[in-house]
Amino acid sequence: MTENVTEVEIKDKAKSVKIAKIKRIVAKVLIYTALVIFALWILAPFSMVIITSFKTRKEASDPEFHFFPEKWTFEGYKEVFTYVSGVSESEIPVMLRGFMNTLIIVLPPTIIGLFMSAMSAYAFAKLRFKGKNVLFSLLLLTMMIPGTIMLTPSYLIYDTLNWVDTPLPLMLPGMFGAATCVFFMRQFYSGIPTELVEAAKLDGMGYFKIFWRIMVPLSVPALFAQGILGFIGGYNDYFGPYLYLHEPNWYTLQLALASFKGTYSYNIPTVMAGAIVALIPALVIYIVAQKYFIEGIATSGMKL
Amino acid sequence: MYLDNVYKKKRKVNKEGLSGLLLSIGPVLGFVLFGLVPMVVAIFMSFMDIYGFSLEGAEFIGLNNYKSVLQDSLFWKSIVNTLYMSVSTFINIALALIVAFLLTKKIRGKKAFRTIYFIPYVCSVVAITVMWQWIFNTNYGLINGLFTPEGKEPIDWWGRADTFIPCLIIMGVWSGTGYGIILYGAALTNVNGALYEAAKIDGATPVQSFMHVTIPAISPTTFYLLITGIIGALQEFARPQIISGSGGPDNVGVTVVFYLYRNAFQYYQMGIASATAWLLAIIIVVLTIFNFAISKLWVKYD
Amino acid sequence: MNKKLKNICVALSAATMLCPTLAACDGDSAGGVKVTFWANCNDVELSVFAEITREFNKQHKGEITVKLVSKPGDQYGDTLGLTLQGSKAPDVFYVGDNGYKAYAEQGLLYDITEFVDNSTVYNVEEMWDDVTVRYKYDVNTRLTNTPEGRYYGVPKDIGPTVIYYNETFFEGSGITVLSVGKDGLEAFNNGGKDDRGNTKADLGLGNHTVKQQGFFSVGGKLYFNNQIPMSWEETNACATHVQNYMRNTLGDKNGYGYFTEWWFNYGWTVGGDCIQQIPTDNPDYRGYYYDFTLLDNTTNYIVADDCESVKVNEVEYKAGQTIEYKDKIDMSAYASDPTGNASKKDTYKVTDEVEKLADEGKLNRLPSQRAAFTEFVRLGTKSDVVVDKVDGVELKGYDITPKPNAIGGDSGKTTAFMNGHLAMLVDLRYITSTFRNEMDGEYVWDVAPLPMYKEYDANGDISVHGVQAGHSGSVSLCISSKSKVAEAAWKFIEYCASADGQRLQAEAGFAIPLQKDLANSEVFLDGKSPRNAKVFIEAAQYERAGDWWYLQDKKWIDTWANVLNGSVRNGDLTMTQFYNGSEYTDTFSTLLEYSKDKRYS
Repeated sequence: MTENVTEVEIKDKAKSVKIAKIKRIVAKVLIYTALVIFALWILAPFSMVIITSFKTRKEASDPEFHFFPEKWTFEGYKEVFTYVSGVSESEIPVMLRGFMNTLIIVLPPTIIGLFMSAMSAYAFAKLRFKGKNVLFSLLLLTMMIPGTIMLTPSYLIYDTLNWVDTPLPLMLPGMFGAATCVFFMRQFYSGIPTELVEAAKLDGMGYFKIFWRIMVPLSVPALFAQGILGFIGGYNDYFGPYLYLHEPNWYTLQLALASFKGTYSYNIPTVMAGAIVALIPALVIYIVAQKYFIEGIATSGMKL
Repeated sequence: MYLDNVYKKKRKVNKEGLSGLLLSIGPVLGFVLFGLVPMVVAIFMSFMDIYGFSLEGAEFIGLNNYKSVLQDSLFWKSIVNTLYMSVSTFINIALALIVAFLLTKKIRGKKAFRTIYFIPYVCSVVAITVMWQWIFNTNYGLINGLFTPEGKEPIDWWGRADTFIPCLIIMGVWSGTGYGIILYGAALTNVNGALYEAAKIDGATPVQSFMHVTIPAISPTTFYLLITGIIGALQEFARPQIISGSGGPDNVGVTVVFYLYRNAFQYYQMGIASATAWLLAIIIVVLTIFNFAISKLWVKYD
Repeated sequence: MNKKLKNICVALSAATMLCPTLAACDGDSAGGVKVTFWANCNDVELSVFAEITREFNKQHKGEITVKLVSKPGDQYGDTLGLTLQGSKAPDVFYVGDNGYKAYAEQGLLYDITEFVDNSTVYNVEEMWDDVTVRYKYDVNTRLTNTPEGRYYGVPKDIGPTVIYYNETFFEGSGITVLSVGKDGLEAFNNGGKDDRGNTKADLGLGNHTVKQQGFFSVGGKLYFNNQIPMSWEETNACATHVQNYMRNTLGDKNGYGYFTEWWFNYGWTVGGDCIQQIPTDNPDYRGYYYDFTLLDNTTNYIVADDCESVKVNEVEYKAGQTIEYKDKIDMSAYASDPTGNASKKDTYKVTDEVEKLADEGKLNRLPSQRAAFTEFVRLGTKSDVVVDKVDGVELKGYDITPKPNAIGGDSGKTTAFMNGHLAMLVDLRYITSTFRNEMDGEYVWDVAPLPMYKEYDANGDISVHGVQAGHSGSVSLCISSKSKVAEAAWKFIEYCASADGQRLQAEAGFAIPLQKDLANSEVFLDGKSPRNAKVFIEAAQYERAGDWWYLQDKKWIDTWANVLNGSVRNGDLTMTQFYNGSEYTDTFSTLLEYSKDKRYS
């Protein structure tokens, strides 16, 4: 009797285990399907751009749609790497020079600005001082005012300073740090136990030393994430360089891309090739650093 | 001894105060140097009648600029358009939560998925917009190329007032979910496991525990995404402007910042443009304060 | 982890260090006065200006050095004003005819009237009337071409609009192309050759007398004369015929027969326009204000060909001239306070004087501006959509034109024509260089004049006609009012406008020469495609600036144009609904601001 019961129980259990297993597999399949569909949704437009960049001009604008090119061509890419704008006396391809200029213009403010923002964020998160809330609110406010309206006064001020036609207006303001970055890093530092700071203080460390020796090493991934976001923002900026850089030798990659697009506006595949080439550096930086990047954003546990 | 202590404490506070000020001052100084003056000028301009970019010959006209903006039906239309476009913020949040939740399950290739989802965030707005403009193109676009039934007229996505903004929303969802997925990913892993256990003991179904445990636990992240998303959405400009520089069919592409830009750089009415900017700033600040106020009802900090 | 990070950082900073060596290697070799020149154009044009600049610098060695800077992109117009306000403005730069008046009023442009008047090279009399007039502006009255007007810029070139057509498709669909102008018809009918060397017999025309028709049929065969403007009906018939061929025979389901982006040709050919200047003695205005007449419903009039001249409202009109709005309308209906004009838009009447002249046969009646505009809208509307209802008659779409939004901007229409998805395209001269590069060898293409309003009698002779009309594009070269080297800058502009400079531009194909003589010479009509290039020359005689040039900015256009190009052309709104909509009626008050002494106060 008892044996019988156990046998039934075991059978039942086995059955339920089996059902649970099937359920789990079904769930897994569903999850994978959903995630893959979402990935395809993100990638599909890109793949279209890439495929099109290898098509001939005629095929690209053919209403009869084919996914794969009937004839693969690398003409567009050849144009990108050999394009020398009609005025430039230099032999360096415009896109390459643009890329170099972008690095010169974007990297210093990104790195210095990051340092300033982080330091400021640390102070806002961990130190008590007079006017802290006022200053922080002021920074928050800057995020809420449409920047477009400051364009005209800013331009005329930089002009008075004789900064127009130099990269300074694109570089100097960023070196003081950015509100969004402060905002983000403050979240991160708020999550670090205050005891750590107190202990360091007891060890006789100054406030800057605590920041430099303790906070920075703890926040490398978050800093990295912010640095990359800042860099990519500067890398993709078009309007600022357009407004302030008049000297063609200073043209950034996005400006070079615009003149490239203007030249080949009737040649969709070539324009797409240009866009892809311009996209690749940002993408490479992101993929190489994405481990720290995602970790950095994730660990700050955004809260207001 | 007592005195000594007080003295020490005082000195300590002073030192902390000074350090705090010094360390935090960078971005504030940057704002004062490069932001404050233009901002003050912009406030002045909003009360003046200015033609062109020079303040020479400008006249103080009180609130007239604000009046004429508020009386312009296109301004109100631009607000409606902007709010309509900001729908993508909410879709983004919901979709990001679902995807992030799926990513917490035991599966392979999590990192690959997360990397892919974040790619649009890295691309320039200009490049993305041009790409989507082409995808929805009537005659050569991908969508019509794939989905137009034989003998049917292709849909004029960017040319119809009723499809223009929905297309922008789709575009916004495509490029905007990645950020939310990563933030939610972190928030979800930080949810206290004991809460799920407790819910399970109480006999909650997975859906119930998701609704009553997960969602409240990650509400601070939702709140963050909502606030930053709305601030960004209300300043929408580049995407509709790239797609239709003239403002789209029936002016549905005219957002508030588009309206502002056009007045400043195409009609040379800096006074009108400044007044618009401040009206928008007021809307944003009020909405943000309102959001903070009602957040007490639904955002649960530990 | 830190090691990897370090490596990345080192690599990045190394890249930064290397860059300055690349960026800073441009030296100035030539001396003298430096002039900066901003060009906003494509590469074809840029290379021409690079050559002009090089040549100029060579001729003025040690004296003047011009530095050419390419400023491509759509943002050029939006940012130029701000740049000119600052101290880093270029000396010479492009200004489109649409932005010219605003810059002049803001004092950003150098008054070059003296230079123009004293120049031996730049001779206004030798040039196309309308294109120089375009830049003679009085900033005080905000009027063009008054005696007080000043020059703040001179045209760089002139780019007329014509019909580009795909002759391969025309022939494929069974249309025979002949090429003989109005003046050559008699000789041709008497057995002479057309401009391509064909006689009537060669073309199978037999004994048929060829009339002033652009598209006609003889014995069941279709003919297209690429030197005679088509009437509205001929345009529709021709477009429909080729479109059917493209869709049914070639299988191009998105093929279209015709595309025009602009309504000007339709409105202007009957003498209509979108705004009209109304004189007023109201002290709030500068002696006049603008009324919005885009959909003006009153009949238009033209002096009959057999009536040498006629006086209307004490103004003398010659045969073939349309009667101006202020002379045909009873102006007493306009109040001195125009603020309520939007509600009066239906009430204006043609004077008895004009009606009488028309009844006497001295004036011919032409369609109203509204009828002309409706015709334009019908081009792109589907054949089951009612565009408007006039006296109970439903006017449906012709469906021969893709919608403007669907075609996707400038490059869209060009690409469509280049790739054989459009049979006829109305476009500017500048696109010729692109078509030469991309289409020659694949398609035969040529140009023809813009359509014109015409009615024929039973014999096929013209009984009533409108005027030939259309718009031409033009960009001016201006000098910054802050420039310290204005004289040197002017010398460069003079050189661009000189025969040498104009020849180089004309050869590249993107413009026709400013000087009439030069345009008619071998330089321009040099056998490069299109063969029928003299159509451009004829168009340059009568074509004028588009509505974006009428006033300082296009605020008054933006609001209604988007509704027109949206719901109206999609067929969701009828013309009547558009006419009564808020976007249309708001335009009246927007327009009033432009002639107020103080704008927006």
